[in-house]
Amino acid sequence: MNKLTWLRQAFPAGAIAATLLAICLGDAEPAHGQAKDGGDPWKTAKFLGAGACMKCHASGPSGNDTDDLVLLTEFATWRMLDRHSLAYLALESPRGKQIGEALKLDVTKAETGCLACHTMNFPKDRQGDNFSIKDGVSCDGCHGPAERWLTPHFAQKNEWRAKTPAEKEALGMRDLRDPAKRATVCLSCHQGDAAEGKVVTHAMFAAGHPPLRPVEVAGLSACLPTHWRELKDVPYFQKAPADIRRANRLDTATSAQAQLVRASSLLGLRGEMNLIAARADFAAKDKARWPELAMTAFGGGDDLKQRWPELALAHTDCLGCHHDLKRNSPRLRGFEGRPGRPQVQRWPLALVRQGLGADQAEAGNFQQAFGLLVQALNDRPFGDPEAVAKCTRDLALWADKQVAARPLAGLQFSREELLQQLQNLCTPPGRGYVDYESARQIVSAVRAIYGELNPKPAQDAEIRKLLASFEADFDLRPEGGRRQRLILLKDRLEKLSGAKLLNAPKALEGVELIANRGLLETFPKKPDSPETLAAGTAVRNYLDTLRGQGGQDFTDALLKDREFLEALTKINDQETEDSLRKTGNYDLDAFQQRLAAMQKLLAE
Amino acid sequence: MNQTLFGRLFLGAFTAGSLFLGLSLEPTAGRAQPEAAPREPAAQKFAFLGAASCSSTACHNNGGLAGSPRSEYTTWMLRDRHVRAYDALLTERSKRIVMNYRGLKDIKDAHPEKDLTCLQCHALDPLAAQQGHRIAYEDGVSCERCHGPAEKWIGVHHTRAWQTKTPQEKAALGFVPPQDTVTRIQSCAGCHVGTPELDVNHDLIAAGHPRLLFEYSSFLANMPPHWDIKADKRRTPDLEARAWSLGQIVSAQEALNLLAHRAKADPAQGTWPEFAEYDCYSCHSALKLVQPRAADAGRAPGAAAPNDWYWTLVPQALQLAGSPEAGAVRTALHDLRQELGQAAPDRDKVAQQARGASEQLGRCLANLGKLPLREAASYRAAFADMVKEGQKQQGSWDRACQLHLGMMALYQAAVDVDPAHHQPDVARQVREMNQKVRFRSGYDGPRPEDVADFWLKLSKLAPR
Repeated sequence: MNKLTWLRQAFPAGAIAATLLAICLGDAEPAHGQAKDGGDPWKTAKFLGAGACMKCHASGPSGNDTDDLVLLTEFATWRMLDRHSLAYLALESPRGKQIGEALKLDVTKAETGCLACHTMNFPKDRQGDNFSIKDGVSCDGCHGPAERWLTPHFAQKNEWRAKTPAEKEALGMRDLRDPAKRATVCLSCHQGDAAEGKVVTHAMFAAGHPPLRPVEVAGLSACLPTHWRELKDVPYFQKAPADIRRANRLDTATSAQAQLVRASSLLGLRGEMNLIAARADFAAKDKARWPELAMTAFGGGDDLKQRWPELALAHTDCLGCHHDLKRNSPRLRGFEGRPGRPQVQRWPLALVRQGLGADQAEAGNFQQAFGLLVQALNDRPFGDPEAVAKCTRDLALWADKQVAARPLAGLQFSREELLQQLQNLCTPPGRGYVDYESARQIVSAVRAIYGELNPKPAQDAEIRKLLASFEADFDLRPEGGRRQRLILLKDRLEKLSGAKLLNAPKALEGVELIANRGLLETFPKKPDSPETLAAGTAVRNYLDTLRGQGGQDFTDALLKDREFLEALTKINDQETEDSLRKTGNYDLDAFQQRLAAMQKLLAE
Repeated sequence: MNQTLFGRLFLGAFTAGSLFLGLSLEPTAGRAQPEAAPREPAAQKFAFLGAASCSSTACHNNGGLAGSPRSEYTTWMLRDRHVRAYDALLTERSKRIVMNYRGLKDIKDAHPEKDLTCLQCHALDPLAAQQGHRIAYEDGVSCERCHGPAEKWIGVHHTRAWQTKTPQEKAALGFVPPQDTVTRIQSCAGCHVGTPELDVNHDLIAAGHPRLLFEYSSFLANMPPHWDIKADKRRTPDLEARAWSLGQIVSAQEALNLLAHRAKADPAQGTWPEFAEYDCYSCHSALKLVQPRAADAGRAPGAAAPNDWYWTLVPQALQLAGSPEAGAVRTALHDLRQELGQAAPDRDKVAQQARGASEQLGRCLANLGKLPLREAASYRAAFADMVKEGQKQQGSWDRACQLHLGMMALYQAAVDVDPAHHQPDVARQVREMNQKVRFRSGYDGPRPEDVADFWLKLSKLAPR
């Protein structure tokens, strides 16, 4: 046993402690390490861009490596299936242009705030040679700036794999298996983060930006074409030495989804409260928190206090106003706010109870603190900004405290505990109105946790049926336009490369399958049929082409291709419309009945 | 001609309630206080006696046909929804509204039937009742609400001496002359548009109270008359057009007064922006993906549009009434709406503009004098102009509705003055448009596709 390993065994909690520290600091960034060269990589290291990852991560496994840690098709999945790679293109698509015209703004300019989420708008001195903002949201956006870890992570593979997540973070690689860290990264765009200039304003929505959907991170992750395996399914870890398994929290890998649900709960609340607090803090100097100020074509001026109702609309409950007026609406059954006085988004509250577990005292504290915010928003429409800032700041601090007191990484739930969580989630929330987005949060959490229940209850078949109906009504499945987008992109890659790609039967399907299973699992070395063999060959050929030409040339070609951008907008619009139709069709009574039925089925 | 061409019933469909039935005045309103029926000195100086004082068989409860002389009380009692205004407060729905409005936890604690905010429009005069006047809330909105407190005139109004009194002399006794159209509209507007004290604002609407949508000519057409409407029409064959144009002007003035008050109200008391001033359905419709469209009159995307209800046809109404100031009013209202349509409207500026426009309308009314009876052809032309106006510029459901109501009033006036002007195919088309501004069953707002259909139908209308 070498010294390092001994140390790690002696202090197995090191990684957890580091994580804890990061969380205690209330920090969105992973634990900051002080690397010898050039200080904190999280503040100084360069982002190298997807081009740097393409060479290996679109190659597919060699076939010799049976203890795989990664799939080596990640780039391909991101490029061709994952909409993050198209995030910047959206700005230059017809829809992006339409939004720009309505706002009288150039949405590709940094001051509008659009780049903050639609690409990784890092300062020039932190962009590597292969980095391009046109690549949208790419690898190091989530995984961390790769400058310090790019070479070690493949050139000294074995040493690298022996490192703990905390040690990797010290070099700038984010531990995305840590639920809190993953949630924070996702939420920063999908919910917003004013301090990072990530704010979708009401004017942007009104100009045509699709609504932001509620975020339950387990569900959101499952909606991605996953370019990773779940921790428990990674072949490498199944055979790894005990210390490595421990450092990577393999012992709690079977509760990964339930951990993510918990992370969504309190971090979702914290994110929303921070967002509002930052926007209501008019003393702040960084104007990036208020993209409204860049929208000068309509007057409005820069008196933030005067503009508060407009600012507040950005984080006001969308569906609270935007619903068809119906007779005997269930909305009139009452809720904690005063009717007619807009309140904050409701979905970040939906899982708070879940996040607190059985802690009744803190549940009471939350009710009290949240009551003050409701009161502020009841007092006058959108509240007095100072009062709103105070209430939301207090709630964010409260959430911070709860997160710190309940470390998520390394949390293991027994079957009984999971069942209890499911029971709690399915308990009707009592009097008042549960809106579509809150219902979606609940259902998404139920689905994620139920997936980890082992063994399944006796009523499994019935429960799955119910889950499937929830999935359909709440749009929890991967987006319907994925295949269409893949075909569209494939056609463009063919045009660029002159190659014929993925024409073998089953090849397209194969590309989708390898998104979360290995290439070898999808196309084994000894294929069961000529068709599988042909599809495997086609996919390898496609990966080769992608590896050669899937970089910036491809992005540039896409950006110049009007027809492509129009087709892309059409597919995306269709998805948004489908999703909004489901939102409009929501029926609270039917939802509650099904939730009650679910609870009964789970009661064994 | 006594043929009524349009059943102007659809107003019932505006209300959130159950009034989809035929001829029914919507009982929505929240607010009392006739403006010109001088509540100020009179209401305090004179006592209310209650509807029972009018109900003797020999006087107004003769049990005759609806609208026949001496059966005014009978007609009101049996047919007029005003009599049930208070009953509405006893329903589960009203309880729920008060529960929501007052922030009560339990519906059992909600007492709309005792709530002054409700009673001021749903009963005769709760303030007077509190002072011991003989008022039965159960009678709802009864005689004296419109005719004035009867203490001083009940004893003399049936005498010969009464006949010779001037309107001023009658008013000095607390009597409100219902023959004067402007006074009458103001009286209705007190509840049906609202006043600073009696404001159905967004809070109350959100709590479940129907939005107030007053348009005098259609309300009049829907009210079971307890007077001789045929005699009215013989005297004034173009009554419908007068009712429409004066209704537009007076209602707008009352709405402007209310807006000026809302803008200036103490922030602790009132709300600003007051959402009730905006187009309900620009926010309240299920989210849809926004499709490319031209920038909307300089409004920033996402800024709410002021509603059109009381403003959209006022210039046309002034023109019809022969006021030379239609253009000036159009400009004033445009400026006001422009400010109101800002993302953060300046309340001082709005209040000032609203007051200015209200005074302007007041001057117009004062200068109108007695409207001359005009020829059928001129109303027929006005109807055609109204159609053109609608074809020129589409817009919200509010605008569609007002156009439709205006078209019906003008058409009816033309035919009332001279039946030869009836164009059955045009009348049929106008009637069909009615279906498109009604709310569908189960909804409290229009379906966008219906509104689009309305404009389509209007575009095809070609009056000769």
